[in-house]
Amino acid sequence: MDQSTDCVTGTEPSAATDLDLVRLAQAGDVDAFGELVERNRRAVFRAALACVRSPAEADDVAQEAFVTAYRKLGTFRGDAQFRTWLLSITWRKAIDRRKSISRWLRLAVAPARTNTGEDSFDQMERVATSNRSQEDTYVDEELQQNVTRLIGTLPRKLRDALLLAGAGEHTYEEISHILGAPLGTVKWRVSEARRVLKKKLAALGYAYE
Amino acid sequence: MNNEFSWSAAREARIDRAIDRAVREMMQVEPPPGLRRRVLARLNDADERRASFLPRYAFAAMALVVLVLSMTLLPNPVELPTPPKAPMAAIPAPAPAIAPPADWDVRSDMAIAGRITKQPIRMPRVANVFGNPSGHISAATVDAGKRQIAVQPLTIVPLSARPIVIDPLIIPPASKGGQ
Repeated sequence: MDQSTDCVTGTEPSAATDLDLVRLAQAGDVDAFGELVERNRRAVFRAALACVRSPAEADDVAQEAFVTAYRKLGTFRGDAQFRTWLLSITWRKAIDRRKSISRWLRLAVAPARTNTGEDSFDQMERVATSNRSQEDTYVDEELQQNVTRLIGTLPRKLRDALLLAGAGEHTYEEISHILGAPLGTVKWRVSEARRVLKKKLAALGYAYE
Repeated sequence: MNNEFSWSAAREARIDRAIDRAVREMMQVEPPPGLRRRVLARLNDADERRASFLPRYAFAAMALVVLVLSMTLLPNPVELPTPPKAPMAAIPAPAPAIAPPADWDVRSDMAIAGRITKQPIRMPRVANVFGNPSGHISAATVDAGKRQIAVQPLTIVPLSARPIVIDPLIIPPASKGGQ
């Protein structure tokens, strides 16, 4: 699937650039901002998902990010791309959500994830199942579950970089801007995350060396 | 050797695929539908809420301005109204001069003298504060000029201590067996 076209699907085709729409929205055109929401909703949602790891919370964060972006639209001068500016807002909102005490309390009192529950990763799996390729069917399910679990144990900086890179919506430059880290650092973090995962899998008996 | 290398590479590729797939499954989730509608609804709600708050803020600001103006424009200090004068009564005789004691502090005396007015203080006429006279005798109705009050002389009896009489203590002799 072509990611560049995938980014702008789901809306009526519009020849206006993001900057044109931003200018219209700055002049009070709410529909123009709605078009910006439609164009960037997937990138924003997945950036939030990489941070909070829950589709429901990512949806809340995405809404907050768009509302905040609309209120701060007057401060956007167009020096950077609107999408990058929007993703930075999204990431800050997601970090705030991840650090919030109420979220920790909710996770603490939430029941453990079960196969029958309406949990985030169950939803993810349902969506991903439909896109599963023939090659993926050869991968051991047990190994898959272990990898998913071990990703959750990665250090945050490594995990954030790995998940943002795996979202398929953001370039390394965008990730670098979102995380506020140099491009080389972001690439190193992704590589290091994979290395740590393989090491942990080797400890579980999935030797690769 | 080639077999070992290919086997190791195959295992590594398998783990790489597992990692890729896990990340993909975690991240390639479609956002819930209607995000645009929900965002625009929140924007409209925020605008309406701001519009409803505006009159309240304006009222609070006006109240604050009125309060500040009233505090700054009022004269300071405020002069209290003078009390009405009491009716003129009989001028009492001036008090007899009393010589100050020997250890009187002259400086404090002068300071007090500065505060003492030389005008006579006129007190209101004091009427009968006990009401209409009645047939009962009371201290207020006693006419000392016509009647005489006979006061019986008090008899003072000197106090004396009563003698304390202590009976002699008699201890009976102990019987045999300690009983």
